[in-house]
Amino acid sequence: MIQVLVVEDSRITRDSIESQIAKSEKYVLYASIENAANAEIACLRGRVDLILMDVCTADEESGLKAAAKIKQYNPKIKIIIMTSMPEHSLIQKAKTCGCNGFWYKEYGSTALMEVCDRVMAGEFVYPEDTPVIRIGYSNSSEFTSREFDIIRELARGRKYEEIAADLDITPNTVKYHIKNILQKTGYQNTLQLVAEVVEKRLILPKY
Amino acid sequence: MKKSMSAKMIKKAIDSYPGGICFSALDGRVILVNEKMNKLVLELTGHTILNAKVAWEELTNFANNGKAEKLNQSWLPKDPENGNESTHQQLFFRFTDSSVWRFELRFLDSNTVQIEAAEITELYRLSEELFENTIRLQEMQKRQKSLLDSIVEVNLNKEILAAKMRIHDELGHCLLATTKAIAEDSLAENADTLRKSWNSTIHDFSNISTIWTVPDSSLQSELMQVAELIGCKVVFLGEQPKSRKALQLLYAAVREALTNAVRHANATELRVKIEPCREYYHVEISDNGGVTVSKITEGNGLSALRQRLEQEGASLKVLCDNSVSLIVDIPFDLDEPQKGG
Repeated sequence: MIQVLVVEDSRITRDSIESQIAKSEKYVLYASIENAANAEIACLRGRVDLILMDVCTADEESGLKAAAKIKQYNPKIKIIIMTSMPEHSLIQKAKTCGCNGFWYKEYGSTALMEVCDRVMAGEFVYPEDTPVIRIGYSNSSEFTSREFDIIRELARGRKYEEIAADLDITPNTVKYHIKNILQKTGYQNTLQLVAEVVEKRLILPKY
Repeated sequence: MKKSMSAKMIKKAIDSYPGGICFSALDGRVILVNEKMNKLVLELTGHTILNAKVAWEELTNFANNGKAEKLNQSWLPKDPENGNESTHQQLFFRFTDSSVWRFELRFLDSNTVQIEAAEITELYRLSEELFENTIRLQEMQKRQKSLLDSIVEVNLNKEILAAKMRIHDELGHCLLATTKAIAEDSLAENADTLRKSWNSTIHDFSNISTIWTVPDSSLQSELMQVAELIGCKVVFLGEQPKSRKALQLLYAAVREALTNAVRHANATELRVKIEPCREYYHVEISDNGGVTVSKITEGNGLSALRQRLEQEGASLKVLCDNSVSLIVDIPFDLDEPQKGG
C-alpha cells in the first residue's frame, strides 16, 4: 500500500481527501496535518511514499517551501501540490522545488486520485497552464512574465526604484511596463490593479 | 527727462504685470507697488498699501470680510524651493469670483522686501483634486492591505463552501433518485444502485482516516503528535510563552532541533526547557541522541532558523558539548502577527 501524508488546513477539504484515500485500494493514509512546517518531520523515518501538499497551510507556512526541504533529503517521496489559488507562478515554483504533480482543487477536470496514480507511475503531472482570470479588460494569459514580476513587486508595496533594483532594470523600464499593464487592463492606477489581482488570487505576495 | 521716462516705464511695466507686486524697505515704506497689488489689498483690507509691513500683518491676521476668505489647508500648493519660513512666507485667499491668490513675502536683501501676489486658481483646483485622490488612494491602500492579510482565510472559507456544496449536491442527487424511484414504484428494481449512492454519500460524511488526523490543532499538539508518529517524544519543561508570535518562534526552533536530532543522532526524546529571564524566555533544547559531536557546520536549516529568529529580535546559539543543544532567547515583547490563514 502507498502511504500518503495529507497536508491541508481546511478541515472539510482534508476530510474529502481522506475519504477518497480510504475508498481507494492502493493508498492508505499515513497522517493528516494542517501545518506544512511539520511535514518534513513526519517524513523523517521514511514511511511516507506520497505527500498531498496544500500551498497555504496553517500559521502561514508555505507548502512549497516545505516541499523543497523534503525533496532535498527525501527525493524519492512523491509530492503533489494542491491549491485553489490561480496564482500564476505556483506551477513554476512547484516544478523548481522538484514536485511530481500539481492539482487545482477548483479548476480543471482531472480527479485527484487520477493525478496520484499517474505520479506514482512515475509521471510528472502538471496542468498545461494556470486558470485564465479576467483582470480589468484583459485576461491573465495576456500578461508577460516580466509584467507579473512587476505586479508581484507592487503587491508587496515596493516603490518603483526598489522594483528596478530588485529586477535589475531601470526605473524607466518599470514605468514602461506599468504603463503597458494599465493600458491592457484599463485601470487608472496601480492600486486598483493590485487590489484586483490580489482579490482574484492571481498574486499571493506571501507565498 | 531720460530718468523720469525710465521711472514711468518701470511703473507702466509693473502695472501691466498680471499679478500683484510690491517692493518696500524693511520698515515697510513702499518703494514700488503695482495697480493689481493695490486692487487686491484694497479688496482684502479696505485700503491700498500704505505701509507694506502693516499690510502684511493685516493680511496675516485677516478675518473673512465677505469679499474673500483666507485658506489654511495643509495641502495648498506651496513653493517647495522656498522652505525657509523666516525669509519667505505665504498666504492664500479666495475671492468672491472664486479666484485663488497666493501672496508671498520675500526678503530680497538686507534692505528690500518683496510682496508678490499670483493667481493660482487652476493650481489650487488641481491640488484640491490631488488631495482628494490621495485620500481615496489611502483608503484603497487600507482596503488592499486588509485584503492581503485575509486572502488566505477568505480562500479557506471559499474551499469549505465549495466542499459543502459538493456534499449538498450528492445528497440532493440521492434524495431525487430515491423520490423518483418511490413515485414510479421502482424502488425494488433500483435498490442496489440507490444503496450504493447512499453508502457513498454517507461515507463522505464520516471521518474514516486509517491512522490519525489532527483536527484544527494548536501549534503544540500537531508537532507533538508528528514527533510521536516518528518515534521521538518531545518533553516541555517550564511555562511556554503566551504570545502566538513567541510560540511560533519557539516551535520553529523545536522543529529544527527535532529534525536534526532524529536525522543525525537517531534521538528518541527531545527536551525543551523554558525559563523566563528578565526580558526574554531562555530556551534550551537538547536530545538523547547517541552521537558524540564536538563541532558542527551550520547547514541551511540552522542558518534559516537563525535568520528568522534574529529578524524578530530573538537569538540562537548552538552548543556542542558531546551532544548538540540549541539555546534560544525570545524577547517577551514581540509584536503580535497580523491575522492570516
